[in-house]
Amino acid sequence: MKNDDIKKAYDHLTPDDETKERMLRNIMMMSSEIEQNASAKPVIVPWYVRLRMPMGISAAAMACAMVFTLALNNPALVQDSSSHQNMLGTKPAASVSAVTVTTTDCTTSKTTETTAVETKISKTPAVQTASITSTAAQTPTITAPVNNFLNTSSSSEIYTAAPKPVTSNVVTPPPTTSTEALITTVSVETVTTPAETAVTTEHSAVTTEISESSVTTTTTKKPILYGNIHDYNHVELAGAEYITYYECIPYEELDDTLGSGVAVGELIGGSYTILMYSINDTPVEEAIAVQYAGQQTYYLFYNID
Amino acid sequence: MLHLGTPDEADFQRVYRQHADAVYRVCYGFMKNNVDAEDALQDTFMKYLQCSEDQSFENDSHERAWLIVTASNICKNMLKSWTRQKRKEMESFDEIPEAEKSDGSNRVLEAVLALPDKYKTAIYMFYYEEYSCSDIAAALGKKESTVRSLLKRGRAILEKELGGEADEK
Repeated sequence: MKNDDIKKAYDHLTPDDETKERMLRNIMMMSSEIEQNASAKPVIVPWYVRLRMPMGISAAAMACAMVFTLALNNPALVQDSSSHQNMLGTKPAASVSAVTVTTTDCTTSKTTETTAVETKISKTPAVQTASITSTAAQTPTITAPVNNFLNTSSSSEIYTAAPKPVTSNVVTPPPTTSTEALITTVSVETVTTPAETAVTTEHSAVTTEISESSVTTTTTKKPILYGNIHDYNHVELAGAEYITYYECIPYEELDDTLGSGVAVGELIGGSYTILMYSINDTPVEEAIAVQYAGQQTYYLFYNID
Repeated sequence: MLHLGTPDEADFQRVYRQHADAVYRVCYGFMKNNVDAEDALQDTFMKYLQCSEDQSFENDSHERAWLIVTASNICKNMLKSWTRQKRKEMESFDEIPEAEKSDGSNRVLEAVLALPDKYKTAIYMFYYEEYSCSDIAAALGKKESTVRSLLKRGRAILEKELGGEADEK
């Protein structure tokens, strides 16, 4: 083997011109494609930018679907919202309408404002308005304070203010008016109450007198207390006999004995301390007066002999 | 159109026409069929276009050596690919052109193509392109002694296959 044999062998591996031109065109085409792909290479947009629109649309769709589902499942939710709107406007309207009904003496400008308020709050339940109106009509004293309330707070204030303050302002007046009415009533009752008290007092006094008189009557009209004044040992009171252990006092010594004496009621098991007095213009031989200790009344003892 | 690295298309066509045959022979020596050799050649010149900005050549010989080594590397990579290995099992090895077969020197060509891949480039560059051992060593990135041993072993294989002794320069 010679070196020329190897060289001749490689010479046979030479491609023809057509093949070389074809390969050249392929190379040119490949290079041009690569350049076009490089020039037309799309700008790489971040994923959060690419997904921004779909995410926003999907989020909005989900929110709409959620709200729709909630509205379907809870129909009361829509009613509540409407009632809530009514509540925001109703209570002011209620009070204002009530005031409008009662306050016919308002000035023209004020009346205009309240009328505007009424138109806005025409959704007010009729029952509530009627009740408040009737309340206001039944109590004429309401007019003044409610008018003051209306004059101080215009309709614009009612609607521009926050819901809670407005509600409180509005709700407050009816109780306030009723309170004043009650106060008026109480004042009337207060006037009458002393009269009743006086009557009661008189009645009690009368009763007391009667009771006392009855006692006295029983005591006087029933002269149970009688007995042998000379003995002093026998006293009857209210049908009961009393016997004393004291010995008889002679007539002559009666004056010396008057003024003190002790009687013990054996039947009742008690003892009495009595004071014996002489009666004016009446001889001691005919009658004496006895006062039991601790009592203001006197008991007359007559000598029946 | 053109060119990823070189200034204009004319220069590239000049380089292509000047070195296409040598690149094709190297590629055919590795791939052993026209289709794969053409693909390897196109990839080699595409690589040349892409690397021409960064690669500066001292002369045509340097440029030619770069193309040969690049073609051999591309062919080796293609042979290493799994698809190439599977296809090789189904192909017949007898793809030598009819011209070479009828030429009588097909035995030498078959022996050269049958050499192991590590000898082919050095044999081609030394015996056909007539590069020196130092140039081959510089192109392949190997020591000159290594190139000499590669050439010696390659010749021994060819002598064993073809008989006789090759001339040593």
